[in-house]
Amino acid sequence: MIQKKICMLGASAVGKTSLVKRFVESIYSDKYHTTVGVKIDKKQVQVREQELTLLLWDIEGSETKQDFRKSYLRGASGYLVVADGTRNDTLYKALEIQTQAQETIGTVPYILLFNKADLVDQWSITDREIAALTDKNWQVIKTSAKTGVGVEEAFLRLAQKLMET
Amino acid sequence: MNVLPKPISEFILELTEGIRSPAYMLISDTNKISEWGGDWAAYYITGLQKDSDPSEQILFLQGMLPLETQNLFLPNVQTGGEQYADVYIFKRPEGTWLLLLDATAAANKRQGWQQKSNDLRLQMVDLQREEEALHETQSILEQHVRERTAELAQANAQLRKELNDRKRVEGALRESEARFRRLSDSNMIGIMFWNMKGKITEANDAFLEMLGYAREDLVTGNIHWEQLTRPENLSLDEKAFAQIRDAGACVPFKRQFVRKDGGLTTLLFGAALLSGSENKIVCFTLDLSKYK
Repeated sequence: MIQKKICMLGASAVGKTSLVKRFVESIYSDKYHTTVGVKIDKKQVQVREQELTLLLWDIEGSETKQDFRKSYLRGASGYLVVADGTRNDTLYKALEIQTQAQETIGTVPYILLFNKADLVDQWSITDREIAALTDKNWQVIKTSAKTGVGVEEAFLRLAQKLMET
Repeated sequence: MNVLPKPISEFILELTEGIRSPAYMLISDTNKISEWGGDWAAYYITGLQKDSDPSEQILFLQGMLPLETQNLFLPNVQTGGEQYADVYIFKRPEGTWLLLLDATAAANKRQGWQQKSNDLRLQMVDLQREEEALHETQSILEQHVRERTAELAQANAQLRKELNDRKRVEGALRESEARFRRLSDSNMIGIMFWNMKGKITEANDAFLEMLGYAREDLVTGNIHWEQLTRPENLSLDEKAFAQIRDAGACVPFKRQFVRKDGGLTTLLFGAALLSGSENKIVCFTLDLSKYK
């Protein structure tokens, strides 16, 4: 059985844990619980008729460069870097975190997720910002852990990229 | 490097064993479990077997081994339930050691203040968002007030202009009426008002005198166009009425009038429709016999 480690990265309260819960257990809670350290879950998926076990490292949010715990990334095959679509500052933290991740484990597949896509009225990421990222070949997916939109797609697309490398 | 005296290092060891539930494992260079000990059950890790791959039982080891660096520290790894461990992995000549120390109390404490800190951060974002929404609403309101004030100022200026225009028109009207009244009161010519139905509503003394009527006759409504007209002249009147309807006035012409005493008198007669009216007519009469 192939096993791949995936890290969930991003600022605090962007919805990393909720995305994992939605993907692994298909549940969602409106109540926010901060993550301390790291919690590891696993989920089996099928990519091109091949069974694959994803080990999901839900890592606590980092607000500063000093918060970023590089040792958690050791052995990761890829990562999802998450921003809260209603808080513009979390996008720029996500970009910083991605740079640190790349410096730590080199170039591995990753996808940027704009979570909380259900909060349309509060959405603060502009199409221009998204276009600037996609122009640089970033893979970007809008997700909602609440409604489930984009969640399965995000994990499976990353899994596919892992199997291609 | 200072070496701790034996009693101190033994005391630290006792403390660690008593408080932090150490669990250890030695992993061979071929990535197999060589030996293990301590309180693994506290971390919900069971079923360890010698010579097996440790990452099969211990999820967080996946991808971690073999260790190229000397030491690796993974703080606050949730190993099962609400149990947290500080995980140390370090290399020695006999193999790679894995050490878990209970971090649940510290993690819970940290969880408490971190939750408060993040909740506050989210509340601040909400407050900021509300403030921005308020600012936006306020600027929209201010814009509406500015637009409405401008509209009112414009309407006010328009009203003031209309008022001035009306005053000017009323002044001109009063002046015109005064001139007309002066002409009528002078009795140089006969002047009377009548409507298309034939009722004479107003006349000056000259007009009444030309036809032998008294003012009482007018006040009591006893003067009617038909009384003043010979049936033979009706066709001339029709022609004059047509001109009045079409052009607003008729060309003055000599017209025979029937006086109150039944006698006939010929007067130069002209009429015009009053402006703004469809059936009120002002007429003048001139007794030409006086100028022969």
